[in-house]
Amino acid sequence: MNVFIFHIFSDFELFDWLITLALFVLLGIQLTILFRNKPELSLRFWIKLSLNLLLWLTVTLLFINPDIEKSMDSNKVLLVSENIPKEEIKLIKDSLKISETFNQKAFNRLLIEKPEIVEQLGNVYLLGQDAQPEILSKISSKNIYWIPFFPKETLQDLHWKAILYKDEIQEVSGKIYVEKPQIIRLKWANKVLDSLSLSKGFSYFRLKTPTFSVGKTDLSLDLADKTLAKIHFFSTRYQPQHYLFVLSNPDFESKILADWLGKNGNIVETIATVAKNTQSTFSINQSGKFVPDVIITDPSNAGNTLVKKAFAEGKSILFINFANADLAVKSINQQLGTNWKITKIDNQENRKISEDLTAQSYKFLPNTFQKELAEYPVAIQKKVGKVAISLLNETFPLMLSGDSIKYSRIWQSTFQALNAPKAHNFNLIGPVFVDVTKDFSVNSTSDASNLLIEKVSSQSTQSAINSKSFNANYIFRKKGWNQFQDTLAIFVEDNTSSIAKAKQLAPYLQTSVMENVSEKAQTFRSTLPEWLWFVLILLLLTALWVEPKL
Amino acid sequence: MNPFKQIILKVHIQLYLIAVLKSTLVAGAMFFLILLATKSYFWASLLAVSGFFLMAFWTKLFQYRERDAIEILHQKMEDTEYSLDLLKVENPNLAEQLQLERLFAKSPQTPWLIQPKIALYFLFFFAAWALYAGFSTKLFSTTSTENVLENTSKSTPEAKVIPRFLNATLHITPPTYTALPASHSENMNAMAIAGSILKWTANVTSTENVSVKLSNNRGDEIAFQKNGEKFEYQDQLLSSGLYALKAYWKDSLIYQSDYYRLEAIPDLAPKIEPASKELYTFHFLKNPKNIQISAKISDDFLVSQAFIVATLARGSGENVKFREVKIPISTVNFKQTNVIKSIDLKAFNFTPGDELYYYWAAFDNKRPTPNYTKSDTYFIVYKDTTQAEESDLATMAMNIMPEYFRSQRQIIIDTEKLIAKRKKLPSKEFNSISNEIGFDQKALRLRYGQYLGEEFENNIGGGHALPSDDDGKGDILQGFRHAHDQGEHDHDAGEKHEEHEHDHGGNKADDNKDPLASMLADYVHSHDDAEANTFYEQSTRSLLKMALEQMWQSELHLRMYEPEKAIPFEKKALEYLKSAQHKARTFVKKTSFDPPPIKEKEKRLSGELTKFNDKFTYQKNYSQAQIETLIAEVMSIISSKNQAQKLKLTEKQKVLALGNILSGKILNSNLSSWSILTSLQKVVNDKNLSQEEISTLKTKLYGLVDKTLPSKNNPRNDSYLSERKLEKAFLKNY
Repeated sequence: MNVFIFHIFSDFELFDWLITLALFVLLGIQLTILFRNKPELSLRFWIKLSLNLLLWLTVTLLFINPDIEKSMDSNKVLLVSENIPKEEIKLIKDSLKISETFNQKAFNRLLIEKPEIVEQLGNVYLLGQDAQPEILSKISSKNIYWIPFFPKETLQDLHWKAILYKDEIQEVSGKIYVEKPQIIRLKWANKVLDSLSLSKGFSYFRLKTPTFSVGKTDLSLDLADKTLAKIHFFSTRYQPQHYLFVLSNPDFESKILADWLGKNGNIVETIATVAKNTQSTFSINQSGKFVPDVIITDPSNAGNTLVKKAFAEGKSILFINFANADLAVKSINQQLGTNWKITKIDNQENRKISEDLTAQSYKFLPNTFQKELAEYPVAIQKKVGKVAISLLNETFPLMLSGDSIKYSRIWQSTFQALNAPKAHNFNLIGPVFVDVTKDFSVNSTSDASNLLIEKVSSQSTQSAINSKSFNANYIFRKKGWNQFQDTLAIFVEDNTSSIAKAKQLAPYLQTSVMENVSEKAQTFRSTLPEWLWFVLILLLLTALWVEPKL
Repeated sequence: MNPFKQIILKVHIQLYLIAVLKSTLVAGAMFFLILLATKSYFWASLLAVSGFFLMAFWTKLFQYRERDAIEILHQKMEDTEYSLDLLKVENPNLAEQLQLERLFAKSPQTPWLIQPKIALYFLFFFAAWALYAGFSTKLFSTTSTENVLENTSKSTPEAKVIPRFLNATLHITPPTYTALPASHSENMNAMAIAGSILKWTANVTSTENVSVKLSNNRGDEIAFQKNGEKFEYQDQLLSSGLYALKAYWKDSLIYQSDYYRLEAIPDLAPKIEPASKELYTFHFLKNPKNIQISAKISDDFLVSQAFIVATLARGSGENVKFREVKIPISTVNFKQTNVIKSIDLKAFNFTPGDELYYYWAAFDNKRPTPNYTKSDTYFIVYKDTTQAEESDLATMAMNIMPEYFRSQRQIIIDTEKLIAKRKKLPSKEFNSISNEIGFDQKALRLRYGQYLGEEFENNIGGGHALPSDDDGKGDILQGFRHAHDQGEHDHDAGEKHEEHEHDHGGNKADDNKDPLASMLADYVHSHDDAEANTFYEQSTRSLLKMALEQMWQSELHLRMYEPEKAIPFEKKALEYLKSAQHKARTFVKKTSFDPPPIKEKEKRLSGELTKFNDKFTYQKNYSQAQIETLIAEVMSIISSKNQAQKLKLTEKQKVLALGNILSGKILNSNLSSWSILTSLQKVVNDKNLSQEEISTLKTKLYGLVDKTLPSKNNPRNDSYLSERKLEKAFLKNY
């Protein structure tokens, strides 16, 4: 490292001249006072003199602010955000073979002082989420590689659904690095909704819970005893559906189910054949025109024109009351073009699911576009509409024996999976950060090209493929709950967390594959920091003050 | 003691008393003055006390003042000649002694030290008091009128002073009979004996336009009565429940309390624990005629009276007479006692064959209707030994022994065992065992013989009850004598007879037949006749008969000590027996009825429809509040509730509605979820919940809906509307 003092007087202004003058006056005063005291030329005197001279020199140097020329490998520069541990920086430096490291402030100053250095830069590696816009704008022409940094045991990524319907499954997923095996929990107050045991190291996690509330809800995501994040979401009320029962004969299972659906606020119509050419119709909560969303029927009605027509229109069909599952499934496949496959698993006619609940002793074989409920032998196939088969025999004894809870669980699970798409769907993935662009889409039967956020209308674009989908991007400016449309709300978070900063940077930087550039040494100059001068001055002053007292 | 010393002492005391009086007067005056100025008793008393001490210091109350007293005496009594100090001199010299004697020669009078100056102090005190008394009433009365004026002026147009609910107290008076003390507390949760009188007193800052009401969990309200400055309500506690206090000012609710619990503890019925656990006892002739019975009777308060009700039943059949007697127990109004009572059976005229029923009964002191308890009924039956019961007779007549016989299979096993042991056994023993097995075989044969109607020989090993003339040759005693010495004679006779009969069975055209019998044969039911006795159909019977024949043969060989030869017959017999059994078993199956199959498709739904309503439609609507939805909504209300922010009206209504529904539920189940209600009530009243309360409330609410939620492992059903044409095309081409 060479220290040069150069061009000192070349571009002096009046102010500089005045300071130079003052400096020399200062030197004069110092020396005058020293020599006036009739010094003996002892060691003491020399020390005093040298200290004074040193002080003067330091003050002068502070004023001159000399540059230090460094030769550096400017092919690779590591820009480090604040609060990043040394080991991490060292690790990155070593693994990427970067010799030059700057913090944001130093680099910014360097850029201000020597704008030409930009030209010399090769690849810029940005470690951490702090990126000053000035730096980014200046080095935008360069290859910038972004290495996000997250402290250990903080979330590196997090997603959830910001708006959903009651009973829908809320899924909270993310990434985290843990030091030791720990349990990550999704909690509602003290109730653990879901948990996952994380092993040491980097893990992806996915926690699920059925949405139980209606309105603004906050869950907390806890690692051991520490809350990592608050999950704010908005759940909307269960929309009443239209259910149509088509029955070959009135039976108790359907009656109880119809009643249960009615009591849950749905609109139900039951058509049962009671004699040849005679049907009984029974409706619950009906008002106005009845267009079924879900048809519930027995397998013998698979060929019923009403059922087939509704199915062609994309309605869902649920088959219950199976007697001869094998044949029944075959006929359903034939009539509705599904591809169910079931296989007998037991010689007994029925198998026991739980107390008071039996099912046909068949099981579903996995197939494309089909999914099965977790706890009960009920499976759903997606066609244009959905077809569900329930191999449960009779569920009403549960209701009669007073176990309405399990009854609700069975049918809520079934209809939750079977119900037709809602009229308005919002695909908004949380978290939403303030001042960060958020992309989301609205899927609605009605025109959603104008969205209302906090009573301000915002434009969205209709999807070219699906006329019902509208994409929007919006920058939320208000923290906390933002009103959305008429009745919904979106929670907007502070953008101070690591994830928020990462999200903020993401549109500008890519964390792409790092390529090596040809090695070419560059030199540039840097100045000593101001604080060093101040410390020196302070030290010398102290020495001057202490020296006579010794 | 010389009189001068006494005088000095008296003066000394007077000095102190005057000092005390002065200090007290000054302190009193200060008290009133300061009270007038500050209206604070605290400051007034504090300053009065300090004034007293200041004055005491000033008047030297706490100093020894004999010197002063002597000086005063020197001034007041002119002839003392300033020589009172000499009294203190211990050893006076001559001159001093002379002076003292001169002094003693006088008869002194104790002077009064009270000076008119003290009146000033009194004046000061009374002036202060008068000032206070006069001014304070005037002052307060003016302020109160001012207040009224202010109130009226304020309440008219702009700022209205809303009355505040101050506090409420609950006075519980248990029913007098319980003798429990009345309680008075600010704790509004009442737990008392049913029938207690509850009296609520509510204090509100102003009673004008205010009404205080008691509301139950369903929202029904009862108004309090205004009693002066307070509101009161009194009622009797009859059953458990929840209530809250509400205060209204004009039309608006100004106060709503938490929900409080009313728990009516029922007065339990008396408890009777009789000592005897035996409900049914026999009484015999020799037993004592006095029975001691005892019981422990207790109650949570007092047992007002107890007694025994005894009923005597006499006679049998339809002619039973009852007599009821109530035996009182002398001890009354006790909490717990052990009653011992003796029942004199003679007094009842208890005779053999009679039955006495008695039970204990007790009333407690509950008013107006006492609780009543009855013990189990005890029976005492006087055994009538003169009457023999039928069942006794039946057992007396003969002692029925279990019939002993072995199965055919067992006989085969025994025989085979015997054959196997042949070489080891001495021949005598061998023969004996073989004979025994032969006997077993016979017993079994007779057993099966019975099924074929061979009833003549019903006595194993025994002969005929009454020997016929042919057999006995006139020996009448033969049937009654156990003729052991005759060895196998009996058997022989029996066997012969049976064989004889058997032959008869096989051969119908027997010439020995009684002509009369043959004439009657068509008219009588001859049980003895194996042919006529049709337990079994022909083939079964013949099989049994064949089995019996085999048994005969086997017995013959066994009796002849030839078990090897007997074995084939035994086995054959077993075979026939088994096939006979099998035949009998298949009998039922043959009678089963197979209905012709119903042609379901033809028959189904083809019933007559003459009276059927073609427009068979009906509707119903459910409008009941959805508790789960309500809970879901309330959960998010609580979740998003800001501490400072108040609830919106609609939100409040929802929380209130949930509180009402839950309170009913909780009342009907248990009170463990009590905190939910209290917290909800707090939310409704815009009171801030602590962080802990919020999480408990959230957790408990979740517990209410937890079980009805779909499983989290169910497949996701993301609601998404798709372009149907595209979707169809995709599914088609997939």
